[in-house]
Amino acid sequence: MLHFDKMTLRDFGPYKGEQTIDFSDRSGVSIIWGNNGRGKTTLLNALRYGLFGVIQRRNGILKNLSEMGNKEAVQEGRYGFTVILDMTNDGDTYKLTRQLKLRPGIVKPSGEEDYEKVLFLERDGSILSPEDRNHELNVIMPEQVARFFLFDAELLQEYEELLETNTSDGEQIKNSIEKILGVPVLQNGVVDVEDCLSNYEKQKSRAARADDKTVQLGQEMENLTANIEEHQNIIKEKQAELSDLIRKKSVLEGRMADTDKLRNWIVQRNEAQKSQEKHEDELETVQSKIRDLMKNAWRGMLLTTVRDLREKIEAEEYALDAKKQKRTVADRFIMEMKKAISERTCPICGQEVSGDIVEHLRAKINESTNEYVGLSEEERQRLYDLQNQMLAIQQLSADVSDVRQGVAHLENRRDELQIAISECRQQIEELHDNIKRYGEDAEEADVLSISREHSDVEQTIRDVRRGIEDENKKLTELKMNKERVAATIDKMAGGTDYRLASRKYELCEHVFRIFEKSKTRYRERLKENVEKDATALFVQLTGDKDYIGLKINDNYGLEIIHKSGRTVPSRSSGYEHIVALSLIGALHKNAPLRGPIIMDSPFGRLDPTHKANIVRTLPGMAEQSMLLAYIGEIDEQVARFELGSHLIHEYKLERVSSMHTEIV
Amino acid sequence: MAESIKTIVLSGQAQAVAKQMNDSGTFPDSLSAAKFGMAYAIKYYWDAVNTSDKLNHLNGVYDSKGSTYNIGSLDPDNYVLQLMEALYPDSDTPYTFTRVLICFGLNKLGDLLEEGRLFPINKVM
Repeated sequence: MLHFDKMTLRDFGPYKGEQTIDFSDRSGVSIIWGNNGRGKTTLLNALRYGLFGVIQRRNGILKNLSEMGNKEAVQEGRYGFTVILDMTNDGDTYKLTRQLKLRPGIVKPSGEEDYEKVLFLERDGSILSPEDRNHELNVIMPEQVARFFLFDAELLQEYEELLETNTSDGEQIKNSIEKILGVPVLQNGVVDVEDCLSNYEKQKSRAARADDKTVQLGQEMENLTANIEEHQNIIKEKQAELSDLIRKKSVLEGRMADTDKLRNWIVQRNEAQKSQEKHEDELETVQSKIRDLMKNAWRGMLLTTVRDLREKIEAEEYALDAKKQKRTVADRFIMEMKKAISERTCPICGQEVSGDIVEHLRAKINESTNEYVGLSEEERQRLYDLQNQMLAIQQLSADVSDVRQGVAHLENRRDELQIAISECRQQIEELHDNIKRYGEDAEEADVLSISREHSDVEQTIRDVRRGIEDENKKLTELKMNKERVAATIDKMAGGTDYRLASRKYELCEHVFRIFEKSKTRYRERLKENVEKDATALFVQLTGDKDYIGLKINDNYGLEIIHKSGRTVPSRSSGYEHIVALSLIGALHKNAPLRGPIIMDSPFGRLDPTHKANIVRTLPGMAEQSMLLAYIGEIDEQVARFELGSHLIHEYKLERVSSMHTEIV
Repeated sequence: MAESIKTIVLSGQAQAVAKQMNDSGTFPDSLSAAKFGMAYAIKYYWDAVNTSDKLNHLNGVYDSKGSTYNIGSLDPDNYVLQLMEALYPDSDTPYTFTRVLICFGLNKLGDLLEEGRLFPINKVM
């Protein structure tokens, strides 16, 4: 079992100079208290750097390791840093020294290339060769399972991925879980036995071919075996390709996360540019429509004047016309009266007209002639002119419309577009500044290509998976054919060689089946144990009687079970955190590989009761635990009370300056 | 009998206003801006230009330093001619009056332009 005794840091992050944390060789819990920015996560990274040579930031792996050097030390002319881990594992003592230092002859570095990486591993006082060292480190703590030993509690949410199927993160975590549980050992055994089985099968086919009765069938068998092997190789290749693709996808996702902000800015800027161009095109169209309308807008403006003019002419024309009409009517009446006088008979009733009436009619004729004089010659001319003017004026308003409303509508749209274009320009300028400031080293095309590459990889993963499924179908079909041929050969072949080869094959096949069943049973039992232990931890950690346990799925994802028997559909971040801790605790209990648990900020999302529950449970989860907590993350008295004699050490990270922390 | 002139010449000031209006991008050309000026004078300043006497007087006021426009371009369908005959039936100098009305209207629009009130143009239509 791996146990950290001591860690010595030299100019690593804020830990200026040489500083040591003594974890003691005893079992129990160490707490390291430190406020934000003091270097808790850096301590976790110091362990990670010591063991694996990498520094994990929340947005990915740190590319330029030299950035981790203490800034004040650099000002004093000391470059690089060192991490020394003193540890024990299964009775052996180890001293692991990992260093980033200047290359010989370099006094002041100009870049990452001026540094070299140095690694030593002493086992029981002897320095190991690079090959032995790498092997030993991989045995003590394989990097693939490090997530269960060194973890940033802020990232515990990633275990939720296990509830989903076919996510690359979920698959990676599942592989890590199987690795820590030792499943690959059995898996490798199955593969080895399968190889043996394949050899015995070939021997059997050869023996069948050598037998007179089964020559043809033996040949067919060999062909089928070769065919099967070919498909198995294709499947292996595709599986290897799939693993590579999943790794590639994960790397791309990391790069996408790293460049997320920059990519969004670039996409937003490109969209704003497109939008600006679209608005500018529309503005040009609107301007053109305005100009078209304004070409003859002046005619529409004159419509009211033309109307007034027409009304004035109409009024005068009407008066003259009325005068003319009255005279016409009067003339008809006078003519009738004159006729009555001359014929002495009424033209209407036919009665005789007397002398008195004749006199009366003569007076009336005189009166009407004077009253309805009709138009003078000047008035007649005027009426004629007015009628002509009216015709001309009617033409002035024909086919003319007032375009004011149309122009108003277009001008409003033009104003809107001008504002929109101005906003786009401003947005583009701001985004351009952001892109220039944030991504000065990044090629825009590269950043944008990441998401394209990611979707291409996703598509290829789907294709490869489909290819594997197809190959498996073909393989099943070939295997069935082979079984049929093998059964026929068994009935027909009678030679000693064939019988011997057949017995060897059967024996190996039994062994293979035992391995396969063992693997399945081992996996099932592990899952049952993980589920049982995770449930026990979960119940301890929550203390909520409504939740009776956890249910594991094929991916090792855990769902909370309500006392009614139903699964709890959506859980809070806090509960997600507790479920993840329960899983990790259960994995530690069931893993052949044992080691310490180091947790960074494990209580952030939890209430005081759950915080106390976790502290109380911690000593049972691993033989050695370290908590990196900010002051106030959990009540110090509660932590001491809950841990009791399990509390070995308490350290504080004290600020000396913004770039210098002392472990006290 | 209408006058037999073939061109009209705007005043220098009126021409400058027409150019600015054209430069704003709202009008297709200076001539459209000029006719807009004429319509503006008739619509909003009729009292100042409603008689031949007034126009004859103004004709003597405006210089001839602006651009020259062909009557054919100014009035391709005789609309302006008919308009002038309808508005000033006693006159036989329709295009001289057209020039006066254009200069008068453009000068008034120039005032709006200076005050920043010419645009949006639909407000003065």
